[in-house]
Amino acid sequence: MIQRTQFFKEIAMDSKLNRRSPFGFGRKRLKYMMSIEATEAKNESDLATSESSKSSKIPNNGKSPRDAEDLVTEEHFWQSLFKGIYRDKKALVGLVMVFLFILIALLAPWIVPHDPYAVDMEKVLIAPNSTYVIGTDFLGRDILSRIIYGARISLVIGLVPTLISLAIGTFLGMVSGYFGGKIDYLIMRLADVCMAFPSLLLAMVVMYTLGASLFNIFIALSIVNWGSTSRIVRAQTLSIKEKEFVEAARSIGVGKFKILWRHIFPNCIPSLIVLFTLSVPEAIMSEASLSFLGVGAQPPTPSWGLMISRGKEFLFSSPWVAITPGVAIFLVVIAFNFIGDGLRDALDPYTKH
Amino acid sequence: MNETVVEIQNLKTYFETEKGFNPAVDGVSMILESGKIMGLVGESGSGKSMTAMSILGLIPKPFGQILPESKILFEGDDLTKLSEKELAKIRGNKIAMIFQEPMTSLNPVYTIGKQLMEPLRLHKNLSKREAKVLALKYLEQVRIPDAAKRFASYPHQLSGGLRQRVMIAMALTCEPKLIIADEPTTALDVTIQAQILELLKDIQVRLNTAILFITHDLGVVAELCDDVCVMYAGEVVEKCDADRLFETPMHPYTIGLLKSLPKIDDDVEELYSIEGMVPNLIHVPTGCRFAPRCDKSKRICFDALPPRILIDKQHEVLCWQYDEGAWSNE
Repeated sequence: MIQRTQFFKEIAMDSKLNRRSPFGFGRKRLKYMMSIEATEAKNESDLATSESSKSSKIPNNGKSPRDAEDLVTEEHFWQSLFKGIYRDKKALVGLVMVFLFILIALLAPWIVPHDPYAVDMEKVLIAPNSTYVIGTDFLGRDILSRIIYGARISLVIGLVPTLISLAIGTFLGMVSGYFGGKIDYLIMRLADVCMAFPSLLLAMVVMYTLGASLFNIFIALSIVNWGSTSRIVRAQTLSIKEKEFVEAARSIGVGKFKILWRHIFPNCIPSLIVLFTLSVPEAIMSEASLSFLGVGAQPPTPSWGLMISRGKEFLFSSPWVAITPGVAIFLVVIAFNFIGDGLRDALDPYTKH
Repeated sequence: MNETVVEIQNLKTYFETEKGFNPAVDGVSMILESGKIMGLVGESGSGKSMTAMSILGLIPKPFGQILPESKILFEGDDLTKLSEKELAKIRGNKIAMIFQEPMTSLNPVYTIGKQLMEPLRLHKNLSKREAKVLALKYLEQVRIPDAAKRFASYPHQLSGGLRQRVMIAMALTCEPKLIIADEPTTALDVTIQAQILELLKDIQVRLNTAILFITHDLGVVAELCDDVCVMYAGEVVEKCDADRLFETPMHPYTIGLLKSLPKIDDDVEELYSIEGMVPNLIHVPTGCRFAPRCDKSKRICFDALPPRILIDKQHEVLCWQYDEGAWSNE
C-alpha cells in the first residue's frame, strides 16, 4: 500500500513537470482552471451528490484505475519548432536579421540620419563619407535614410498581401478539400488558371489595368498568390478529414463549418506558418520587381526596387546608388528564406534525426 | 426491463465503385435492447463497421447509399430518412460512438477537457461552467486518475488506455440511449483491454444503455456480450445469445471462427484457419456467400440463397444445412 501511494505521488510530480501546452498559455489557463475549480467545488458537490451516490454502488473489485504507461510525452508542435530553429544556426541567423529588419522599419522616423525626401541639388551623387554613410542619389537625397524608410514599405508589402492571399487560399483550399465534388472542381480550376500565368506577368497585367500605386500592389499580389496556397491547404485538408477525430466530431453531431474551423484549420497551421515565411520574401521580391519595371511604387516613394531602377543609370559612375538597396533586398529575402527553410526542416518528420 | 432502443430492419448499404455496386451491408436486421450488449463479429471487410456507420448516417456520401427499403427505427423515427440536421441532433446526444483508434480520435490541438465539453455544449446548451462540471464528473466515472488535472492535458500527454477512457467519457456525456463501440480495444494492449471492457460492462449496467460492440475478437465477445451477430460478407449468418454461440455454434463459418481460436491447452503445430478470403462483393455469388470456403457445402449452396432458419426463439442461422428437406434431398 505504501508503495502504491509512493507511486501515485511520483506520477503526480511527473505530471506537474510534464504539463505543457502547445500554445504557450498553459500556465495561465491552468491558473484559471484552478480558480474556477475552487469556486465550483461547492456547486459540484451539490450537483454531483445524486450521481455520486449512484456511482459509489459500483463495485471496483479493488483494482486501482491506472495505466501502466500513464505519462506519455511526445514533443509537441511548437516545441519541436523552436527546438528545430534553435539547433539550426542558419535559421537563428535569419531570425535575428528579420528581427533587426522589423525593428528598423518600426523605428525608421527616429533613426534616420537625414530626411529621406529632402532634395539637395548641390549634393548630388556624393560618394559614401562620414555624413552620408552610403552617399546620396541623383537628387542629393541620403541613401541610407531612404533604405531605412524603404524597409517600412517592404515590411508592409511582405506582410499584408501575403496574409490576404494566405487567408483567401486557406479558406478556398479548406472548402475545396472538405466538400469535394463540384465545388472542389470549380475552385481548383480557378487556382489552375491563376497558376498558369507567370505570377509576375499576371501581377503586371493587374497593375497596368488598376494603375500603379502601392495599394494596387496589395491587390495584385493577393490575387496572384492564392492559388498555390489553396492547393497546399486542400491537400492538407484531404488528409486531415480522413483522421478519426474528424469522424468522431461528426459522430457527436458537430456541423460542417464548425468542423472546418475548429478541427481542420488548427491542424493546418504548421504548414501555413512555413508557407507564410516562404511567401514573405517572394512578395518583397515581386514588389521590388514591379517597382523596378515602373508599374509598382511611384517616385518619390523610397521603395527599394524603385531605387535600384533609378540608380541603374549611374551604375558605373556611382555604383552605391543601385547596389545598396539591392543588398538590402538580398539580406531581407535571404533572412526570411533561412527561417522558412529552418521551419520546414523542423516540421518535416523525415529530416528529423 | 429490456426495451427496444434501436431496431434495424433489412439494412442495405451499397457502395458505388467503378466496377459496380458493392453491397457492403446486405439485409442486416437486429434489435438492440437497453441494458444489453450486442456483439457484432466478423472478419475485416464483412460490413461490421459499415452497419455501425449506417446507424449514425456517417456513410461517406455520394459513393455509399442506404437503400430505401432499409429501416433503422429509433424513438419512432427512421434514421435512414432523417435529414442531416436532424441526424446531427441525435449523434453524440442519443447515439454515441467510440472509435477504434484512440490515438487519432482526439484532436491533437485541444485539451481533452475542451473536447469533452463539446458534445455537452452542442446538445445540452450548457454554459462553459456547467459543461465543465459535468465533463469532470464523467472523467471521474471512467476512472481516470486525477481527473481535474487531466482535464487540462493535451491528447499527446495521455497513454492509449487513458485516451480511450476519454473517448468513452465523451460518449457518455449526453447519456445516450445507444453506444456504438467500434473495436474499442483493438489498438490497446491486453491488460488495458480488460480494464476498458470492465468499464464498458459497468457503464451498461449502471446507465442501462444499449451497446453495440463491434469486434473480431471472440474472446472479448465471450467476456462481454449478451447477444451476438456473426457477420459474413455483409450478411448476418448467425444470431444468438453469447453463451449459445460458444456451446452450440451452428453456421459453418462460426464453427470455423471458433476453431481458429488458439487454445492454451492444445499443442498444435499449425493453427486452424478458414481457407480463402471474404469474397469480392461486386460479383456476388448466386448462392450462399460462404459456400466457396465452406467444407460442408453441397450443390444447393452454390445454386440458391440459403434460408434464414429459426432454430428457436433466440437462435437464427443462415444455412441450408438446417433446412432438413432440402439438405437431405441432395
